[in-house]
Amino acid sequence: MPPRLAKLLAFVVAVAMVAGAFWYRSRGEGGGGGGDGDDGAVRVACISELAEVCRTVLDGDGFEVTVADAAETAARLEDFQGEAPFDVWVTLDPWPEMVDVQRAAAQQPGLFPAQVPRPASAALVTLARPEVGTDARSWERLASRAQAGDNVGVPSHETALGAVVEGQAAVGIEGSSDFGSEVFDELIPVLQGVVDSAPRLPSERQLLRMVALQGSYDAVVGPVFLVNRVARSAEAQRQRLVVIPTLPAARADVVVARVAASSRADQAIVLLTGETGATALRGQGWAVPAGREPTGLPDPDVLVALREEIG
Amino acid sequence: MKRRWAAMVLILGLVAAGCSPGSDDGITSSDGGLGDPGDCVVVDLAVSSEKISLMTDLAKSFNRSDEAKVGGDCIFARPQSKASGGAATLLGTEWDEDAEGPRPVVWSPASSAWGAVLNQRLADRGEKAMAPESEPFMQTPLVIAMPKPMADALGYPGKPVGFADILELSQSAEGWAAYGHPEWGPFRLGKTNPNFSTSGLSALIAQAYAATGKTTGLSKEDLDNPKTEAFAKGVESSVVHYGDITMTFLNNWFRTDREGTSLTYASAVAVEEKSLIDYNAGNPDGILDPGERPRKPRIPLVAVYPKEGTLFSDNPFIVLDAPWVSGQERQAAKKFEAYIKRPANQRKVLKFGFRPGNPDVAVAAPIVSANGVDPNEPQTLLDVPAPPVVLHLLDKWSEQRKSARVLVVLDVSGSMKELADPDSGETRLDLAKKAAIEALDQFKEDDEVGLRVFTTDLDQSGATFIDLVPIERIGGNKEQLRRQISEQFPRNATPLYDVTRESYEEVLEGYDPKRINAVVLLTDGVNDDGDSSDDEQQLESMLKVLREGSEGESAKPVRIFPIAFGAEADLDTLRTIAEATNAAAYNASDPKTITKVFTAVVSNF
Repeated sequence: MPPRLAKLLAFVVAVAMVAGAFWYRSRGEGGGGGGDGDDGAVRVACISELAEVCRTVLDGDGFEVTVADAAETAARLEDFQGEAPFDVWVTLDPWPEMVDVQRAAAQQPGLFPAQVPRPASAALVTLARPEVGTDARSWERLASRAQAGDNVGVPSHETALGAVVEGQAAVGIEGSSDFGSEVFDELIPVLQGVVDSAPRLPSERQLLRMVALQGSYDAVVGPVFLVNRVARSAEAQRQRLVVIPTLPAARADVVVARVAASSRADQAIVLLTGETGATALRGQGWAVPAGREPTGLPDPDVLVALREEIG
Repeated sequence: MKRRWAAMVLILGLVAAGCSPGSDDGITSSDGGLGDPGDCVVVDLAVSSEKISLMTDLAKSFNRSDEAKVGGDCIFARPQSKASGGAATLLGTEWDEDAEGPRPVVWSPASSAWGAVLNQRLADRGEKAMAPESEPFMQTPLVIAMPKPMADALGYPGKPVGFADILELSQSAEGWAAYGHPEWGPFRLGKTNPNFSTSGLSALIAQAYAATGKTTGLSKEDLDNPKTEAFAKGVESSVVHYGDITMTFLNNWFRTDREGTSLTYASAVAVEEKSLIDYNAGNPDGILDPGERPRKPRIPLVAVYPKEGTLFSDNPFIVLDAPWVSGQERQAAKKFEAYIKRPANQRKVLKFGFRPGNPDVAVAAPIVSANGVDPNEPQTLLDVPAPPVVLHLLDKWSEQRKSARVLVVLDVSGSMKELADPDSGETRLDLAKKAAIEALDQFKEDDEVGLRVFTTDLDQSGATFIDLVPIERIGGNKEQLRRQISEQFPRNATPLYDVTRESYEEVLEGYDPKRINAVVLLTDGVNDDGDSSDDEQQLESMLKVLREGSEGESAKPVRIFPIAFGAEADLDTLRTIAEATNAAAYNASDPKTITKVFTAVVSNF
């Protein structure tokens, strides 16, 4: 098929899907949520890392998109009184489960279904200075380097990716994803040494700073598409920065989670998990669909405890 | 503490707005040939002075481009030069558009640390932050500039060099003799005043980190540690003099390079990498006047990247969250930001000696080893401490800096009675007295300050000067200085050369190697001692004495910092006098700027 025709067809399909979503909504057949009949805008919370995807896909009067770091939205979902503040949360796995862990601890009912759609994912890799090289393959070695004064970039604690990378680092240092808080006495000081070794900023800012402000970071862990994008820049190549897959392999999965069985969530979920969402996610560099294997991260309750410890 | 900080930053702002050694640059901008904005959406930018040429250049090309459009309207970017600390003060207090130019939509200080300081000051008053976090669009690291033979003698770059080595050198009784070069004399360090200069502030932070062995998380407790304090005092002890801008050092270095004496003027100066590139290109002040052809120095400088780590001047592009910034202006500013981050324009940034902020443009010439810099450095970057720690550091510095021994020499000739401010009715002398009295508060208790006034026929024997207050610790004689200054009145003629020489010799006689020894000379005229026939000879003879005293490995440098006060002052001659002692002349041709200028002069101590 000629490329122009393919583009045209993709466009027509996308328009049809959006129109379909609106038609679906106008019928008031939310499906799966209890059909409360409220036809107000769909309230979508979206993590900062996916802001552009959400704004692109949900660009219409029927949606009210709130972009915030995962920790901020999580706090609102853990504490709200009365009506849930959102219908849908577009975030990374396992943030919805982490919210439910906190709610369970506060004897509140869970908000999220057991299975949520995972439209995309990205492996976590490390952009490293040449002298760090293959040490970036191992979190144990990265931890040793951090202890020796190297600056290892872990994304902001408040971001969705921050928790994912913290989880991967913990698994790497511990040597297994099957652990609980009984190992924290030994694990936390090492992990803390890594996360405190360099300023914690959103992933993309860390990567850009690593290249532009030479000496700021020796290694930065982030999603593969962001890391590759920066690594291909002329300055990164001049500095001979290298991309290293950090082991154990871990992945950030995008999830589109219906909040509190909201009946208004469907049209957003349809768009985000359908071709429109896939196009936008691919455009950002995410792999569509998400991988099927486990993400390689610790259990959500362990991640919650980890986050509380390292603060 | 807050008041003190506010005062310091205010001083910085005033100085930046009003004076520079021997020039008017640093004053709020001209339009730089930008022209009339017409009906376009104007994006006013306040940018630090070292990048005004670059930003004006970029604004001109942007304003002509198809990208300068927002919602159907054209955009007109209009940069003005504002020293970073000064702009921080103005944004945190009141920006008087009549005096300071238009309030900016965008602020680009040399370092994002100034944005944090502004936000901290607003937070202290319960006001919301005005400077959101933003990404740098270009940067330049702080380096220790050293003449190449000296860097070679230390084994750099084969052997890393840092502030610890500077401390060791500064405390060595042998000085450069320990490295086989007794002819270079003691180790002499040039640093700008951190209350005035971003590179001075960066150097102070780097020095504090070096003392603690940390690269992040510098705390107040670290600064109060006796080991850190001793380190700081040791480094400061080797300082030649301070100053408000690094150009003073670079211009002096360049001039002495022509004379073949640069190695005994200063051994090292903390400057930005970009300035070092300019120097080695033969353009020490970074500004090429029309028709000026740069001549490379005989002895180039080498950028030493301190082994303990350094900081970048990261030049953030801050679209202000200020009530006067409209949504349309904000959008227009973002367009200009996107424009300057485009690879083609980032290559222009590189041409000016800055490192590009867009990684799609690789660091390349002029940031190459042939120009004395290393594109693969720095290897270690230091964190900017939290604003309260920075304030504490500045407070500590005011006590730890090298003490001064200064004779203030005040012209009380008849011309000082001329009206200087028609609004207030104050004369030149009224303004000078007020400025001198205010400047006394900038000295620290341990500084030694004296007062001399001069004119002809001060007594029946025809004395040309009177020493009203001997040079003693200001902690004990400040009131006496205030009183004596305030009692002065205009009298006769201006025996400038005679008194300048006598004052220099007076300070030289009591020379104290542990202090900055200096004369601050304020005059509103030309030499007039009643006999003009020998003026030229007098001047030449004096300059010979001054130069001889300032040169050589065992020189006892006494710096003369003249202030040319009023339009009739002989600025060219005063500049020659300053240069003969490797100091700088200051221009207060508008008498109303004298307070700012006096403040700038005292920043050297």
